[in-house]
Amino acid sequence: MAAIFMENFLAACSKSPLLNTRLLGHTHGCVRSLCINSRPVSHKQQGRYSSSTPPSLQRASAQVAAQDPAAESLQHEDFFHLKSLVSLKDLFSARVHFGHKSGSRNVYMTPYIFGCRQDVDIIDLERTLLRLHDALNFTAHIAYRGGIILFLSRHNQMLPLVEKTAEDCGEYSHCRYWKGGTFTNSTIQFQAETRLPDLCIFLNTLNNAFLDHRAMTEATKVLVPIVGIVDTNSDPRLVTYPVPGNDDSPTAVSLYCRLFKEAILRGKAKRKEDSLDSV
Amino acid sequence: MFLIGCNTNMAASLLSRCVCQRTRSFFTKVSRCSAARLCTNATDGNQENSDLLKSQKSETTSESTHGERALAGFAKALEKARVEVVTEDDVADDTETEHTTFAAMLRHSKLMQLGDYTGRMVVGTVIEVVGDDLYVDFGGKFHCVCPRPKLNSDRYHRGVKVKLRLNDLEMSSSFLGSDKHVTLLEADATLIGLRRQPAKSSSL
Repeated sequence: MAAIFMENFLAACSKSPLLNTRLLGHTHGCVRSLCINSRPVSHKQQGRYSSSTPPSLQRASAQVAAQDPAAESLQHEDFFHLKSLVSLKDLFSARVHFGHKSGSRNVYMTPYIFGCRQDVDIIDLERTLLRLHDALNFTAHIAYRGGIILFLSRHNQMLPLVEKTAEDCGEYSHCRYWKGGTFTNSTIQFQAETRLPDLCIFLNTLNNAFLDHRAMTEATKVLVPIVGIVDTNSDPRLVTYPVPGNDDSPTAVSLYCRLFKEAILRGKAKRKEDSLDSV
Repeated sequence: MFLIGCNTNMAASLLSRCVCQRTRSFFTKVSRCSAARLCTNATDGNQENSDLLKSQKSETTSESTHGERALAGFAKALEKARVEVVTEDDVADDTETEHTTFAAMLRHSKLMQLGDYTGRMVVGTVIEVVGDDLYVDFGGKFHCVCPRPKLNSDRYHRGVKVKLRLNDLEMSSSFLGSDKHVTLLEADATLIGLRRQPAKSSSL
């Protein structure tokens, strides 16, 4: 299963196959496995799973891996040293553990909830920290491979901050009303063949009506991975790398913005350093 | 009565904090303390206090001119600015370095200390002013919105510390028989007034 994820991950990251598929809006032909707990598997580890994967897929996977110019980055668990960026104490002082009242709780957030204090849900920061490390690592890898990143949030209070964060790291943001079909009907709506983002980062997965942001389902349909901050009232099921945490306090959101910006900038700096731009 | 059971160092520091000279003299009744024989090294402590008082007295008598008084006042203000400000007691406080697990941090947090938060007094900071509405952040998940009071209305602006009586951390409730709550994304608190800085001074 990890080998399948590896193959998809590499296909998603290398430019040429993805451009063709995304532009035409077709599926790549491989089943996308939303393995929430998996990490980028190294080539050496691939051998362990060889018995479960068919030989054709192994060969394809090996071919893709051989062509990948950034293959070395996948050998390390924390290639960009992002674990040192944030600690449990940082999360705690930024009020990341505060959730909504238990009446607003989404059933699928129960595994991430530490407990309920006076009707207020408290998010387990030990779990959040691990998820956050994964999300930051993934973001940095996408930036390392020259991917386009889109920041999304429908929380108007954080709108200036999110837009500035995206601008500061040279990426994009969409914090206004999301028109249906922006991803799925992009060719007609933009009247041109469009390159879609390679990663969507949701600082808030709900829209103003407390329903799932439309871009969540659209991104999933066009196989764009999603990194999202999920509060206790959000549905984490469509998010590839969910980070359970508070999305309503300005301190928490500014922490996330700072961390994602740092991860992206590190990925880009490393890309420049390893001169992958020409590839 | 006040000095009973406390050690002399604490007594001396407490005395130095008493701004009013009359209050200071009230506490340094040497006879009372030594007669009760409750303070060890009572005489040493009181000697210290009396020396302190003497130096203070000499200070006040030498400041005769207006200019010198002004300078002394300026020096006091400068000293006050150099002294570390007392940390505010917010709902989400700074964690002590000894707590390494989330459970320990949470257990020793102000949220747990509050207990039943309804009706509790907290200190907040005004983060935004829109017309007559003050948006106050007291360290919880959400801010609260309070109307600007009529008394001292011009003193409420961004950055001001205020006292609040907390009613709810989040205004949410289920309506029309729905299971899922509808939330206003705001806390509910009553504004009591401005937060008066506690009288503190390391130097006189």
